[in-house]
Amino acid sequence: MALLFRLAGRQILRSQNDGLYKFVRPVTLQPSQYVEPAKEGHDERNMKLGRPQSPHLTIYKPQLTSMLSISHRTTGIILAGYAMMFGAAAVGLECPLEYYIEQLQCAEVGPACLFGMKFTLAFPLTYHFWNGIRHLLWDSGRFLSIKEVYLTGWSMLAVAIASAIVLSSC
Amino acid sequence: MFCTMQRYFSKEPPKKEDKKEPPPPKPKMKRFKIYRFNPEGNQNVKKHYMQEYTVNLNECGPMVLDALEKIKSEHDCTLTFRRSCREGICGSCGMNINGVNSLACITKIKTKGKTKIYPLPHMYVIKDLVVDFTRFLDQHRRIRPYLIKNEDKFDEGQEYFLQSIKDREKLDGHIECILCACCSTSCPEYWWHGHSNPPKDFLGPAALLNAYRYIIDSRDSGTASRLDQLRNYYSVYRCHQINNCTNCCPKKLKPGKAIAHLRLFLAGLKKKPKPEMGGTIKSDPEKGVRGNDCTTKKSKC
Ligand code: SF4
Ligand code: SF4
Ligand code: FES
Repeated sequence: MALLFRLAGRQILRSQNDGLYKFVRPVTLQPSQYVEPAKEGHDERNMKLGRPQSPHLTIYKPQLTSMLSISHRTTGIILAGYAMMFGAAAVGLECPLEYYIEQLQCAEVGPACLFGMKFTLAFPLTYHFWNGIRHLLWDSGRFLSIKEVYLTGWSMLAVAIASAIVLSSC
Repeated sequence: MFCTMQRYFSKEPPKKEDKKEPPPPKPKMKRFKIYRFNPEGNQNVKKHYMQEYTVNLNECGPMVLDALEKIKSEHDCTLTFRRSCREGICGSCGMNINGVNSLACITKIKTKGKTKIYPLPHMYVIKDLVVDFTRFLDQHRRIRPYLIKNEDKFDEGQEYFLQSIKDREKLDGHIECILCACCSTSCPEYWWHGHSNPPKDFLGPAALLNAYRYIIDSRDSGTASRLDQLRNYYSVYRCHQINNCTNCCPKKLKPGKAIAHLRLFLAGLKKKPKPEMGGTIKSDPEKGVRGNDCTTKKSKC
């Protein structure tokens, strides 16, 4: 029986100009060395697959936590800028800085404008100072529940603004 | 949802004279804007986009996951997201909902306005809201999330390590982590430094919280090697205490606090207290205690 089938099968395969042989390809299995798949980094693999990076900074909600952190950095940069600016001014300008300050006082720019200028100088300092203390408290492992983080955050802001106002109005 | 609809439809049509029948509730339509990305789309225009769906909240459960399920079953079956337990314990459904990372299954739908849903931020998107967790889980693996014992005089699988109730209570607030990655992917420092090449990467709040959990475990004796592993520029110190992590953790854990305490450990300002109890107990309680440094009475063990 089996022989019969085999013969018939062969007949079908051979007929029609080797028709079915086109699809049935004889294969010989050969052992070959195991090739370790190329080690890909996480990024390379994902980029090869064309996966996009999900949006982050643009969609994350601005919260007190992250906002106070970024402004701590910004005020730090501003303070460094002030230090460099005044340092350069002291070296580069002809007269000492006090002279220009007196000039400014004589120029009668109005108290509001003067206050504004003082405030822009004072606020980064007070903010960085008080928030720095907050960070120091955190570094000692305290005030790290969300309630406390928000409480210290708002009170720090209030104190920073208040002390900046005091500094700039005297 | 289905039951309410069934109830609604199976009712006999109201007769004309019966005027007490309350009118059908006004549909509460709510729009959802969802991030979509199809990796099998046209190879040339493999782009992500935002798609909007409108759902009637009267026919939908209260949570964001319910709305997603409804959209998937009734509007668009190609919408892809991870979910399993639908009760905030498996950690599958972490996503960015209205700008904050949370678990869809325990986040209530806000009735007002549009709800925007994105995948977890700064991760590679596999499809729609599903992101690649490989690196996140690898970081978890690298902190060795299991007890390390120095002595080799215990029968693995046959004995329990003893721990006093007080020592065990110290672990509360750390063991509940479900590795949903909400915290790590909310952290700007993890966005910028979590992706550099290991081991020079910031491990992220989730892995560090778990590292801390094993460091303070009284049964663990690998504290020194665990701390040594973290003593580099990246692993811990990239955290700048932004506290986005603590702010969004759906299990109300405090990864930020754990990291601050890790740093105290690293600086030597905090030491691991001596365990109140040591030794092991046979897993068969009838066999009794073997450890000799068990300080309390046998019955208490
Ligand atoms: S710490 Fe919280 S947010 Fe982070 S992975 Fe664990 S459960 Fe999720
Ligand atoms: S406290 Fe640290 S880990 Fe948590 S969000 Fe901030 S920088 Fe990231
Ligand atoms: S489905 Fe399990 S945590 Fe949301």
